[in-house]
Amino acid sequence: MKELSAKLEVILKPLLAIIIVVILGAVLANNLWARISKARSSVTSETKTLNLLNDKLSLLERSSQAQQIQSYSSAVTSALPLNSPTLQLISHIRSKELEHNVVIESISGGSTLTKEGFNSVGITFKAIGSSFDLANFLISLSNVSPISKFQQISFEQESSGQLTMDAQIETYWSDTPTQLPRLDEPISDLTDAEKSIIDEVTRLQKPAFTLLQPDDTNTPERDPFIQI
Amino acid sequence: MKSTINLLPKEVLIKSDTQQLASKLTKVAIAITAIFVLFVAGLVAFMIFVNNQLATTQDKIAQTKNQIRALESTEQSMLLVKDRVQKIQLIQNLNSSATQITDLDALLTALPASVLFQSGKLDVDRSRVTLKLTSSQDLAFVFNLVRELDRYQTVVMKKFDFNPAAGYQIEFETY
Repeated sequence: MKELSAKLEVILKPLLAIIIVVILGAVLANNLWARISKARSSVTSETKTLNLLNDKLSLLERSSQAQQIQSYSSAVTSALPLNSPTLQLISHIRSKELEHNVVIESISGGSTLTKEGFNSVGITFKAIGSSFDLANFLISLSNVSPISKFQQISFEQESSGQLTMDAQIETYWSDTPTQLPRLDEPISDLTDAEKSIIDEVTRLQKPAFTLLQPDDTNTPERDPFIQI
Repeated sequence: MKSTINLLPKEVLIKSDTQQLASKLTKVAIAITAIFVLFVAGLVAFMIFVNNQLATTQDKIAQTKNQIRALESTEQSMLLVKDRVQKIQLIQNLNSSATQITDLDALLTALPASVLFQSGKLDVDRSRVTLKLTSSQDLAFVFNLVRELDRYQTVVMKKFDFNPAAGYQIEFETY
């Protein structure tokens, strides 16, 4: 009996050592591997974010260098302004009136309507002219910026032989987007369809405005507090 | 000749095969410990490498974000353009009487001087035109013209008047 216990003691010591090393190894390796897996998945997701940010940065750098986006921005903002473009449209109507030999008898603005993301206002006007002039007048008004759309138009023959036209035209505007997307949110370049819309609105005739510059030729006003 | 001296009592003596097994097990334990130490060292090294990689990537992200922030005005312009274009597209898809205007212009341009355009009403989906004609030749001409212009899907005659003194008056609606 003593001999057997001595034998077991001799064998058990290294056996226990092996078991302890294996268990310890398994626990430690498992813990380390879990940490490594977590770090690796973080690296993968951060690499994706970095690629996305690099794409965004290169797109923004290209757009900034080409300086095209500024001209696009001005063209589309002119076509769909930030405020009611009633005055611009009336300015177009008055300038086309002279150009096409028609007489505007009255112009009146309607109330504002809000649709899917944009606002619209109807302008009603009465014009007199020949059928040919009135038709050309309407066609020319279809190609102006800010964009506008004719709704109802009626013509009536006058005893003078001229036509009286009552037309309703709708013009649009929209507020700016209120917030920028998150920094790591992707942005895409303009598609061909979007570029073709920009080309289309760039060709529209913009309203003529006179920019008044300060008159430099005038002598500056005398300072009333300086005694001569 | 080599001789071994063992002064331990006989009952304490362990047989040589048990001793051999114990010695083998000890060697195995040492080997496993060595492998384990190497393995853990490898894992630690790999973890340091992955953590370094993560830190480098995070540094690059921070740098890139700063560069993007510097181009914020370009991003704003780009978003504005995209937003406007999207809304312009919506507006372009709205109905208008633009087609009716060009159709009427084509009709009026082709009409002879003897045909008088008396009244018209253009809507977003239809137009109604009233013409005054003096002769049956003009009448035939107008009917042919409306067909030949090939601009209307449907033409409906709404009114047809004849008066020997004033001539013909026709009203038709086009879609």
